[in-house]
Amino acid sequence: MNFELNDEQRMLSESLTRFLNDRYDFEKRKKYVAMDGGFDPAVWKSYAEMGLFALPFSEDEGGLGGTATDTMLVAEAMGHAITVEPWLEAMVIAPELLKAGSAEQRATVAEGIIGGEIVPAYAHLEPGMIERDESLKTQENGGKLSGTKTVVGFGEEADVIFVTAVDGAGKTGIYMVRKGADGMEARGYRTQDEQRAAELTFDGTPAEKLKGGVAAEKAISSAEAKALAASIAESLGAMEEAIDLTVEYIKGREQFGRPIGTFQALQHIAAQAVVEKEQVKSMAMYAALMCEDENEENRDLAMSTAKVKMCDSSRFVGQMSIQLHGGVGMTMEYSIGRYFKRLTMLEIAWGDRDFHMDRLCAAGGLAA
Amino acid sequence: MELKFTPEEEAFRQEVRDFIDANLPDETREYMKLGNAPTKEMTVQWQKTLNKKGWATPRWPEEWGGPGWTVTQQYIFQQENQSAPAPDPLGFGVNMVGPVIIQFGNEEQKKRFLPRIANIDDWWCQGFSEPGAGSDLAGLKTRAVKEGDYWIVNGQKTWTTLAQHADWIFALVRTSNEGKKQEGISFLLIDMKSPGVEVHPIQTMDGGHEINSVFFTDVKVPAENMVGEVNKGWTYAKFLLGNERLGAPRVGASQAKLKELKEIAQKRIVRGKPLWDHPRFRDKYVEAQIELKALEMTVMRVLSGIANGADQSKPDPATSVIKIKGAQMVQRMTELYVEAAGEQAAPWIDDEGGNALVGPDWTVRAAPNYFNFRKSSIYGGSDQVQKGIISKAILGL
Repeated sequence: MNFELNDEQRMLSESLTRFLNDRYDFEKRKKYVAMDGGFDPAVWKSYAEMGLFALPFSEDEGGLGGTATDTMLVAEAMGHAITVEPWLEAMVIAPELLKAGSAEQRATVAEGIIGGEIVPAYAHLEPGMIERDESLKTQENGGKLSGTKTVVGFGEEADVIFVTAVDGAGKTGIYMVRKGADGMEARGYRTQDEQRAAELTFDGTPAEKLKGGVAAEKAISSAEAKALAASIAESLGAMEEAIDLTVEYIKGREQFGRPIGTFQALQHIAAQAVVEKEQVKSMAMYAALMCEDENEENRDLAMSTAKVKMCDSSRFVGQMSIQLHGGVGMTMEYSIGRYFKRLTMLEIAWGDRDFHMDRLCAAGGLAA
Repeated sequence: MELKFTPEEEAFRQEVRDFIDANLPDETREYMKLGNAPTKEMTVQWQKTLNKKGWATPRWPEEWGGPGWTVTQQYIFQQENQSAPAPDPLGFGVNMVGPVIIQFGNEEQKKRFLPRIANIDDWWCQGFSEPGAGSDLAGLKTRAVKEGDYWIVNGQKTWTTLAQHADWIFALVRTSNEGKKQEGISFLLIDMKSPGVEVHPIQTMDGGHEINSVFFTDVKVPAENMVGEVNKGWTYAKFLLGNERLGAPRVGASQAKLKELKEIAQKRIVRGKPLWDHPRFRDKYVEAQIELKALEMTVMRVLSGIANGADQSKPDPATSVIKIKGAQMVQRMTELYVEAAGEQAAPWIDDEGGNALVGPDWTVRAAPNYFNFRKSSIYGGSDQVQKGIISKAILGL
């Protein structure tokens, strides 16, 4: 049992934080969001140069062979800055899904992701699908896809889209679709948390099946578990920042002739936010350590446990941040609203609280 | 980072488990399994057994009889001992006054008191709270005035847990009214058999007699019983309370309770089916498990920090978090037992076992424990005091 970081991990976290402090303040972020494609390609390139996208890939594939703990640190830093790029797809999802592919498939795509030339997307959810593990309606037939995928992060902008679909025999597979492929229509839009997403329809769209590696279901569930673990760390970072911003605000804001932070009613709300955040910190570590567990049931129940806690804490911290800011917290002018919105979207992502409670209850809870 | 225990640590866990299985009296285990706090005799018997093995003082330095365990081993031992369930070594001695004497006491005090604390030859109680000094502990008024080689003590302590068993009390006393109120407090060890010490029981709403008022009337305390420096007692008290808060969560005990609660719910038929199969109950059970996992991870995170030399002069926000969540966890468990017992939680059962038992054995302690454990968010610095600490020390508000 050990919860300490090693020197390399500390350096990774510090250098990314330094970069984001320098390149990702509130005003710069506004500019990135307004750019075509929804983010600044120069920032993406910098992530690649810092080795973030090389982290998850094995050394054979030209990567650094990082662990989920490394991902946790990156995600936490990203949460502090509420970055808008699809780094999670590049760092976590694509590398996991590619494990279902052959060595050759992995090698070609990995190289592009590591170098920052390929922006990947993950098309899994379908309209009317409430649960992440429902059966899929998107069909593969003779190497071509037909169906609809919904709320695909950066689905319009991505160079390679990883699409989940079932074949004629009803077997789930993972298919790669290139940007601009025939029969694919992308209707892009902005999301509540200032990222981009798209509705994708496929009509006889040529796709390359990932095969030769682990089973597709295994790769998908592993990608989802690791994405969930990373999203908990990201929400931790956003909570830490939201608390800092709120505490700073109530120290400066004066009413009744004194800073409102001197009122005990507000202090105890802020203190409760710290209680919540500290538990999420513990759960982010728990999730990072458990998302690589080989026993899939243990892994998934651990992820659900961490996620339910994160949902409860995130809701408290997000709502209290707006409440303690008062009227200005409601405005676009202040950054706190952005944190609240991102936290809210993270609560919904990768299975919401009800989904994970159902999973835990069905299993009778965590094994003792 | 690594969550798993090493093979050596797992072997250690087995060794602890085997020792407990071979040595813990069945009577103690069965009595505690029913939700009873151990009797004085049970605590004394078990701590003496542990002490013979060298395990009664897990956190003490080896020089003073500690087993030289790593933080992880200490955690494993505590988890196994609590989940047995076996009595904890007496916290007032082993975790409170013992470490204060080790850290701040003189050689003579160490030699005189520490071996007797380890072997529970002396039962210790804690003289901190007073009728006028609860959350505002530094406002305490019990006075000690120096007369020759003695301190003469007058005043009243309250909420003194198990003072009826105690041979000794460690008390915070006022030795000066100069300057800030924190700067006139001293840490004094008082023999409970001294003339002028009187213990009056306080019955709590669960019907139990756990706490007391302790009165001091011209009690003569030898000057050598002062720990550390005069008027520096507040520093020692803060050190002690930090230790107390870290020990508050009793994760192992809650894990054992949750396991038992599942078995109970599987057997108990409510509206035609096992309670376990009722979705309302299952939700609450799973939510309690989630809370406990978050608490366990937070405790392990703090212990890991300590093991790796975290700066302990700075307040770790997680310590107050652990106190608040630890108290909530214990309280939540007792609520779930009452809910599982339903109307069978109703009968009042006195110390003599009077009144009719209308449900399974475990229902007897359900309501009393629920009422009793409201204390856990009040003692050792209430939730509100902890939030005050977080606001000031962590957030700078």
